[in-house]
Amino acid sequence: MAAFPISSNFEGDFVMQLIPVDTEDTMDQVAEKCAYHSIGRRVVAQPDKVLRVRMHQTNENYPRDMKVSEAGWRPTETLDIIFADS
Amino acid sequence: MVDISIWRAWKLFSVLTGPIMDYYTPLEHRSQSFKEFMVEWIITQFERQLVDLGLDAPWYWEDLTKDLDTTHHGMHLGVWYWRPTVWWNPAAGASPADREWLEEKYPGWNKTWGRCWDVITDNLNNDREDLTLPETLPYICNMSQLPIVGTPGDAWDVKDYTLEHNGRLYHFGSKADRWCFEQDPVRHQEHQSLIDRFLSGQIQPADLPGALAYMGLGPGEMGQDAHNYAWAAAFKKQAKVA
Repeated sequence: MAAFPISSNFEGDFVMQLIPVDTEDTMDQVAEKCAYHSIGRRVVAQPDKVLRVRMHQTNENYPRDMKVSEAGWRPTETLDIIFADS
Repeated sequence: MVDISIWRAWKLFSVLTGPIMDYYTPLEHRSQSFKEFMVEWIITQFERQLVDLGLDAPWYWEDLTKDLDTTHHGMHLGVWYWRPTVWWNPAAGASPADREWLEEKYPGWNKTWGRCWDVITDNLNNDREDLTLPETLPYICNMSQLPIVGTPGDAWDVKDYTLEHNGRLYHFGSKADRWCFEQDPVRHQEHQSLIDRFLSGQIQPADLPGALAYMGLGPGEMGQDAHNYAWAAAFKKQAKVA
């Protein structure tokens, strides 16, 4: 359990933001922490969608239950948080 | 060296002149948009001077021309949203009439930047000012020291230009910002942006109030909306009439 800084690039938002997550956080928890700083502030929620996490500018989503410690991220890695159907 | 200076000056223009011309200047006093101004004075006139001197336009000229449609809108929204971090009161410039003008000068503005301003306006009209104020820091470019911004909303397109150098991950707001770093890495490599200082523990307490104190901003100095959100109330009135 350790703090881990990432850069959140949230779908629909205009800016990247510094988000502190934890090495034991799952991708769902990472998405939630990023959503707190974008949804309802500058981005409209999409309740029928699921938030998925992927490495910036790639197309493959991380498994939702994967932990930060398993993802191989460098500190301040930029992640895209996107609205997906599943 | 000239090419580096022009790009770095452009970035300063985008955060200062852009918002001033397109958002702070009252609508009735705007003689031209920021893009019109830049196209006339920089893209056309300055380019002509370079050609007359036998110089080529910098390699990033096409990128700069494209960015005239976007960067300053992001810088403005960033400064407004993070207004506690500046020492002036930014005008939102997002009233119904302002948005009509912005749509005319930048077709598609309402479906991109406007989407963010829609959420902000709704929050202000529903007594949720708290959601229009930040609780974290924007990610800052290691060259310009400005937020890394891009187009939001329906045409979402925010890009991070990263560089791993001597084991350290750097983030840049554009190809040209990264290129500036790469021209003289020894000069730039030790510099720490506000984000880097925050993450290395130099800013205490390590929270937003701590960052504001680090920047020397006291409660009386932090920026507030220039018109106390009167522009947002205009949308409420519109809704009532409808």
